[in-house]
Amino acid sequence: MTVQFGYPEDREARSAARVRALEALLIEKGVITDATVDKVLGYFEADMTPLNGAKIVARAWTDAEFAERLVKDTPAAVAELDLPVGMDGAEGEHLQAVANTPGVHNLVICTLCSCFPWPVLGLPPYWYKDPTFRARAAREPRVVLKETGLDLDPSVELRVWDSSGHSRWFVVPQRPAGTDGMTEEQLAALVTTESMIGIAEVPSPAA
Amino acid sequence: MEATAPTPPLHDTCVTDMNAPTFDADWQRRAFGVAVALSEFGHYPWDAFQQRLIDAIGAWEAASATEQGSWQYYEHWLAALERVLVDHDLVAEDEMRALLGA
Repeated sequence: MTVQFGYPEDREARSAARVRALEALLIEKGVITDATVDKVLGYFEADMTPLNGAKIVARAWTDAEFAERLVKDTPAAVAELDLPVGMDGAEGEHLQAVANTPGVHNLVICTLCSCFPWPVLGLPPYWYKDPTFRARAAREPRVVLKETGLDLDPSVELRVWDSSGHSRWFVVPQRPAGTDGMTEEQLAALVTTESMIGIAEVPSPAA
Repeated sequence: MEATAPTPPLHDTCVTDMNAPTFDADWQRRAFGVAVALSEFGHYPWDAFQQRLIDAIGAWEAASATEQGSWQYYEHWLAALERVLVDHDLVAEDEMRALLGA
């Protein structure tokens, strides 16, 4: 084993101690206060959640002109909605929406690390960061989608978007059948994080 | 065409639990919060942290299976954080060494 990758048995405890020591040192040096990290985490956990993405998708489903603006200039369209302030910080400025259609399905991955559109989807699920998922989704996306439960018709074009520091993709899924007459709020409640990553479709409420 | 290695199975959470929690331990949550807070308050551009994260993950992926140990995303996150703090003079190199040696 090399020094670089020699993992000791107590790696969890050591990592926890390293983080504690690092945060304590930064507080001692006056770089942050003891409240800074909690404040930022609180903001992420309360305000930057997939609810934002769901509201954006529901608006796109009910307003065709908004849907068009959303894919053309995503940050500007998102700013039209009454979402938490600070949406344009924390990487929100690089948001890019792509819309599914009957003939095109979009899937978002990040092959290099784990870039993710935090302001609209919150923090990524564990599997999004998994090295096997990242590698396989790039190499054989159709197979991966099938394994996770989405069996795309061969006639549907599959587009895979690799997130980066400059483009944080999210998917506007197709509006499911059986949702005629539903309000924007009811529609938003149907939208899942998985559907906005493109690993699943939004299930029909009738199903 | 060279022989291809058997395809590793997807992580369990890919197929069984779509809404797995984001953090498995509190230290991961703290490490996430520290990295984001420092960037949000202008101590380094997010790109700088991200590049260190890409480097750390890339080094793990380039290592042989016997060397790399099991995958733990937030260990790479923490390593990237330690590097970027030194890069941007928030923590001196010798302070960081002392911290890691402790």
